[in-house]
Amino acid sequence: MSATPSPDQRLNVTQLFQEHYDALYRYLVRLTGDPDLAADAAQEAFVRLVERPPQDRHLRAWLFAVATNVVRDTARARARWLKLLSAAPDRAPVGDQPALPDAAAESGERRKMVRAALDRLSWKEKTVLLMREEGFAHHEIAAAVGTTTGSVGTMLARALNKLSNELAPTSESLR
Amino acid sequence: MNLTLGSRPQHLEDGDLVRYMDRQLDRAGNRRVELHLTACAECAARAEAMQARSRQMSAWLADLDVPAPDDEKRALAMAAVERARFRARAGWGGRPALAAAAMVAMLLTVAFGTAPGRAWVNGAVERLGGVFPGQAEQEQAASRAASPQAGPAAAAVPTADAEPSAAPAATAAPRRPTRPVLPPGMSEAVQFNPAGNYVLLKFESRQRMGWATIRIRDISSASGQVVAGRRSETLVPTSDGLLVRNAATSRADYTVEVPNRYRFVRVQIGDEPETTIAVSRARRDWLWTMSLSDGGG
Repeated sequence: MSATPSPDQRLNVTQLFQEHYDALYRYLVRLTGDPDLAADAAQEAFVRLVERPPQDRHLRAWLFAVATNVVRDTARARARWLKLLSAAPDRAPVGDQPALPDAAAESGERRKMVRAALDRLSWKEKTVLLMREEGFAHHEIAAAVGTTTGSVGTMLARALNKLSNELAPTSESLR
Repeated sequence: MNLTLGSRPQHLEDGDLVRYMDRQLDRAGNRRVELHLTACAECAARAEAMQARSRQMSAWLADLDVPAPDDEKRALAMAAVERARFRARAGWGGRPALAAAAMVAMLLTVAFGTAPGRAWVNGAVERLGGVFPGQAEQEQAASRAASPQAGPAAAAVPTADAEPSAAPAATAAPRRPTRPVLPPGMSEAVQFNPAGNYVLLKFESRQRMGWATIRIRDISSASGQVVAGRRSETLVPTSDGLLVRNAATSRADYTVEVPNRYRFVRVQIGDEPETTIAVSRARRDWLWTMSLSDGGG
């Protein structure tokens, strides 16, 4: 049985929710491209904060790390499910890809390109890049993705270079 | 943080440039990079390019943003958090603990003599200890109310702060400290004092999910409260207990505190057969939970 949070911790949960929910949701949308999954993962992170309050004082970083793990686990489960479906084509859902309402618009095109480029990064590269964008220090990012602080800068540089190489020419052409 | 030397002699690694850019180097490392950038035009150009990529990246990522969840979604998320808080405060270890509730119910049924098969056919039951929402406040109120008029009253009386329109301080019950803001998904506590020897707790409907926790203990006045997940659910005191106006789509959790001077607590959900809890004065502090969903929560 987990330790019951102290009254202060209980008070802080509401405060933490108010302070960090929107940023966490934004990060998760960027990470997954799926607003529903992002909302679910953000909620789950806060629920876990209550159920298993961490000793870690850096609660914001903890929330982001937990939500990232939730997304990763969900993605793995989803991949297994899709694999299962592909092994049984008769049961596979049939239908067109849902069309974006503004798919024809330039902003929609650019968004798709950014999304695609982001999804071509490795999971760690994507995570470090997006956590950095939320203002986390390298040691916090390192803790979240399970690597050394020193290697975060290297991963960030690699991710920035990759995305820049992929998107810079198209970005220019779309302006 | 130590500065790593580039693999190319005399030049900085890209990782060093990012660490410098993000102010992640220690003072010595920072100074070293600054000196190098002053002396090396190539690395200075690379640092500038990395800065530009970083700025461009922020713009690209902003393209991916969608509006933040609306108030309803936020409220639902907060309600889930409140439910978890409630479980934590009640001393439940977590969601897996709920799965054991039915087994505990069976043991309790035997231990406390409640008629098996009738008591908890559709609802999982659990007896638990731990802190209870509003417990401290209600204990204070109960001790202050330990006066001749604190016995069962003929009419049900909402707490003074339950409804802003209620008669101010006209009731015998002392005013509890007013909480400035209720967390999302919660309601104010509603007091009720049936005159008979039982309390009838009636839910208009089963719910999509949610739990009712009934605590029987040595207090002077009964009360009910939505503790999480409230949307439009309301609690209405009746002459013999409390009516919960809920719906099949509800997801709320409730707590009801019942003085142990009553002999029975009757629970009715929709049109289902009643469940009766026989109150034993020997057991002065019980905590029961029951699922309000068809699937057991």
